[in-house]
Amino acid sequence: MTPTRETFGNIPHGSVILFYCLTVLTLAVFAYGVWRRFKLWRQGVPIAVRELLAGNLRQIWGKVKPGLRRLLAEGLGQARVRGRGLPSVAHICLFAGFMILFLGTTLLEIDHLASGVSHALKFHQGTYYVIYEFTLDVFGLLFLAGCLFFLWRRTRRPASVGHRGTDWYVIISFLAIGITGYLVEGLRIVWQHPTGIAAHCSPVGLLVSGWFSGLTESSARSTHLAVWWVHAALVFGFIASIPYTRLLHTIAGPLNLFFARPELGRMVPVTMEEVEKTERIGVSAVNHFNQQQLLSLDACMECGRCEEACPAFATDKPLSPKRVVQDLKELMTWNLKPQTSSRTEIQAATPLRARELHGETIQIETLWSCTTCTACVRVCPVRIDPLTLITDLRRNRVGEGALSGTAATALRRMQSSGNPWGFPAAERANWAEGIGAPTVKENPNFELLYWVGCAGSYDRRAQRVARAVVKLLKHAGVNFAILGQEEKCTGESARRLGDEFLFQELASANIATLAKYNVRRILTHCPHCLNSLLKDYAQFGGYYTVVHHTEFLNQLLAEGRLPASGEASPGAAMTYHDPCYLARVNGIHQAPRDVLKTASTASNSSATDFREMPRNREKTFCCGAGGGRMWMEEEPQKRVCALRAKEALDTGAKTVAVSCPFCLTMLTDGIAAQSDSAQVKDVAEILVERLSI
Amino acid sequence: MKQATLSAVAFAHKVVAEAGGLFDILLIGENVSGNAERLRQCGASAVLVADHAQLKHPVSDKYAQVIADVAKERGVTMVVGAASTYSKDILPRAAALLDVGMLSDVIDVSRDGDDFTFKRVMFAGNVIATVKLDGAVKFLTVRAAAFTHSPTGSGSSPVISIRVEADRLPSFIEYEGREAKVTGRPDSTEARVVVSGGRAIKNAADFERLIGGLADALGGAVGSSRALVDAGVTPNSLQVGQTGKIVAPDLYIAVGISGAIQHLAGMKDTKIIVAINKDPEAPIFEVADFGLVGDVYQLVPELVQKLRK
Amino acid sequence: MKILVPLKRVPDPDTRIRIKADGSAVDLDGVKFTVNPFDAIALEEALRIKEKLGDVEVVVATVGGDECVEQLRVGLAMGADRALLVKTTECLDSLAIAKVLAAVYRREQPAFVLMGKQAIDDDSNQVGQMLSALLGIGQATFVSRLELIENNSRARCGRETDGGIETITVKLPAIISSDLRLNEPRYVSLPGIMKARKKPLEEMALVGLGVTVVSRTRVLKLEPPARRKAGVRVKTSDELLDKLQHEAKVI
Repeated sequence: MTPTRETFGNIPHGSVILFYCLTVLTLAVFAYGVWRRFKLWRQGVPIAVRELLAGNLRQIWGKVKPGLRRLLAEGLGQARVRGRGLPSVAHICLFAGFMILFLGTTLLEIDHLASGVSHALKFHQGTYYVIYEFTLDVFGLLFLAGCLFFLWRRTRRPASVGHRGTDWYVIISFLAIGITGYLVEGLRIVWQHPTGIAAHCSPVGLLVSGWFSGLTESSARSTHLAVWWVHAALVFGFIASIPYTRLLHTIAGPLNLFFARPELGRMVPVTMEEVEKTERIGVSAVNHFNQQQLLSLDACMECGRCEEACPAFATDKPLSPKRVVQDLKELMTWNLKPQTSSRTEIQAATPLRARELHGETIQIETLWSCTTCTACVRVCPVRIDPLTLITDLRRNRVGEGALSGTAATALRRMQSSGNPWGFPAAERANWAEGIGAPTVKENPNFELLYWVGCAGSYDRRAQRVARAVVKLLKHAGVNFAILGQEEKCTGESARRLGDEFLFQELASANIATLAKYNVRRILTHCPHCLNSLLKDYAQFGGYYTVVHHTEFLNQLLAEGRLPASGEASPGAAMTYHDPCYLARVNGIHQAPRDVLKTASTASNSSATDFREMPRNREKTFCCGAGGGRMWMEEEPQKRVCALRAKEALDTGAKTVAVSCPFCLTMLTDGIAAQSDSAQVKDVAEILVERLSI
Repeated sequence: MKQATLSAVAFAHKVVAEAGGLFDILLIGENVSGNAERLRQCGASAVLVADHAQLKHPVSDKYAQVIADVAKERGVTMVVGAASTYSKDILPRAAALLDVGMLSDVIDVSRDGDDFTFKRVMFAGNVIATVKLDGAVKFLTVRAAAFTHSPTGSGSSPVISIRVEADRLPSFIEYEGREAKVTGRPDSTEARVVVSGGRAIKNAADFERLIGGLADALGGAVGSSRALVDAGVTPNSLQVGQTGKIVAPDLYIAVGISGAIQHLAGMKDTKIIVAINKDPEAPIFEVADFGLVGDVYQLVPELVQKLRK
Repeated sequence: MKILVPLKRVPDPDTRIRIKADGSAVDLDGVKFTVNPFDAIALEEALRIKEKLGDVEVVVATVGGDECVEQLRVGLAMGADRALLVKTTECLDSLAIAKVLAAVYRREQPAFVLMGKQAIDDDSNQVGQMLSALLGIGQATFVSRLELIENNSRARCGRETDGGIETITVKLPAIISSDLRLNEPRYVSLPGIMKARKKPLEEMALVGLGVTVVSRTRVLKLEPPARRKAGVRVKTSDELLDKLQHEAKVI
């Protein structure tokens, strides 16, 4: 007998009709639910969807390919779900199980319709059937395993995960679907009596059928029909409930994966014309976000990964990225209610007050707490970007005059003196006195511009790093120059604090200066300058190749322009703190490690005892200075740098290597409060020491 | 006797020495005869006392009226006060009542024919301006540190009682009270001298003894780096730095402070920076005018002891 | 209620002040200007009163040339309703300015005046007090705490004095001058300044106010204080005290 089974076997014709009717009804409820949410998203600032589909096929393909790739790798491939231990595994099992079961059902229906047209088209039989049944049985188990894990976890009520009444309905419903599925299969086997491979290809079903072996054929059939209906009802319920429960993430999530902007460290510029036209800057009402941002609010599953990764949340600041997304989502639902005529009447009778965004839904201290470290963006499985939500909100607050105090002072000083501490612009090159670092005027044929940044120019501690870099560049015979007094703050922290136009003012000035000297290649030891020069400045006509000093030093070592061997040095325990804007935002984390290790594996010295912190490379934990927080106060017991310093000291390291002037300042503070002996040094300083230059 | 008063007296002596003439001291208040006695030794031609119940508290509307009336009646050409909040509040009002001009924070005076030339500080002490003030009467406030020497002896001035017409005194202002400072120390943002402690100071008692002691010996304010605030040694109000107070004194003594930029950003406009630290490599030495390397627990008590002598 | 906030255009507080070689004036080449920080604090206080009470008009005013419009726009951007420029190119001393402001006051008839205690260039700390005398009204100087009481007819003020914080109440109208710790002014960025373009800014000449003023203070020369030498390492506490006393002359 060819292994097969009849689709809708044992289901009376009347039931099949009813089944299809209910299918249509379910899909209608589902579609209506999704449509209601879609109408909310639509009220945001339009994103150029039509533009995506404009042009010839080749152009369209070019535009949609990246999004489709993400859908494949991150949606189907669950690439971003990985990395959280058991919950990741469980979700992948649940998702894989569900997708295979869904695919299976679809294939079954296609076969049913095809064989209705012509018996020759039937494919649900033979080897295909065997593989099909076996696969579905196995994946059904995976599906159940995932469900069981999540049910168990939900009973433990972890704080990071969201908790709603409908969640219980969803997870229990899933479990019931899985279980009734196997019951249906088992009961089918009881009345179908398949033999040989046709039976063993459904191992779980076979097992289950053993539980019902005592039933007569007719009671098996009637039980089968009953359980089949239960199973069908549960499935209809689940599909219809998607838009009304957390399951909406299955629709909004993939959509967001497609439409979300992929790159970290980018911000969307604003023009003065836009500000004049809309009479506002940034977001002050929920429909000022764009459509993709509103869509992303519905993609949130409250999984809590972002919260767990957030340095502000870890230090008890009033910021949880998850809460920001959820609060904005609730505001979107409340304020942007889809307008229908009957509702307008109801609204007129009992006017529902629209809620305020700033002050009522989102508190201003929440916004200032963010260090813009991008950990939340990296870690979200559906590519929600709480960081851009926050910076959009910050822009509005700064534009409306809601910023005051030390951060405001730093901004004022950036504007008047070109650096956040208010030191005179004329003294910007004083750090370089006597060390032979030519300015662009003195060395007009330079190949590489060394962008020193404000810290390197004015901060006595960071000046030592700049001088170390110059020593290394000179030793390697690099043809470089510095801008000297003409260099101004890149404006990076102004932009992230929310003063877009101060940033643009500084950027324009710097771009003009860089153009004046025909700068193409820039070297910098500050990851924030690097990110700004590379990504921010490109939006305003400044296109440069920007390289971090650790990358460049690594290259020099590899090329032999810096000696890879030095004095024998004792293997001091060392750890390296990855800067957010270098490792996570720009993916540079191997080069600094190579420099640290190369510098130490001199021919006759012992290798450095190099230790990794638990949160390293792209998973690095912020030092706390980004997003303008360097200019803001933190409570002594709740400092981000203290947390990171502890993590560093816990490795047993005596030297903490850094490669960012912000990290240098913050970690020096953090370490000094917890250790008398541990030191914080920049990679360049360590290299200079090791090479005895 | 406040240093401030003595400096005004010293200024008066200098003017009289250069240009001749004489000066009176005006004392305003209630039941101030005791103070009047002490002022008799200052070498003034008279100690004028305006004593009245309504003048119990230094409210500017009443005091300015009294000063203006006395100045007019006595036909003075200069009215001088020390550069204190007391004088700064009252004297300009009195000057305007007489429709005459005023110069603040005078640090030098010299005769110029029939008139005088003055030097005063501007731009937070970054500019010394040589100025003249036209007009029959000049009101001035003078900086205490600039006028210190008064001739001693010279007998006892007579005390003249000034008649106060209470019903002519304005009553716009009512005095309610004053929260005396916990210590007698000035606030770091306004003091001429600030002594600041850093991580080297181990506890609050040591801070008071060393930093407080040195500040008191110099008549200055205390400050601290953020490290001590974090450690609970000092209150937040003492923190000097980019997220704390911004100060610009004439003298800033950084005791056991490393000189991180967050701290420097709060005191970069100081005229003279002194650093005392056991680490010769500390960045603070790069900005200090005078640097002393050593154990602060040994050096600071030494300084205090020597200053007290 | 109307609050009048006079403000002054001053060089940015972080500017390293350089004096021209001939000592005649400060070298303003490349210098950025801002609203006098104490005036910004006064304006911030007025705006907070406006936000609290609602029906308040805040008027900013300044005396000077066309370049002062920039600072008036910042004031409007912070939230003031109206701006007034009294145009003159003359350099006026404290009493003269007070007389001009008295004329402005008579024109505007505000409930009270909130202004900075001193300008960070001149550092005189006189105008507010003189203004109150010319107008024959009360004053509260160096205010770090302000509360309107008795149906906005009086103000209870905490004043920063050498001996501590002194509390007084003053009958309104009065001249209130602000000290550093009164508040932290709000940050103003370009969008705010653009919006402020729509707010009324009136210009008038001194003569239009019916005022003739003459500055009685004459600056003869400007010079920097004693130059700071490069850092010196001293070896003992004695040496330190000696240098501080005799070389630097700070103690």
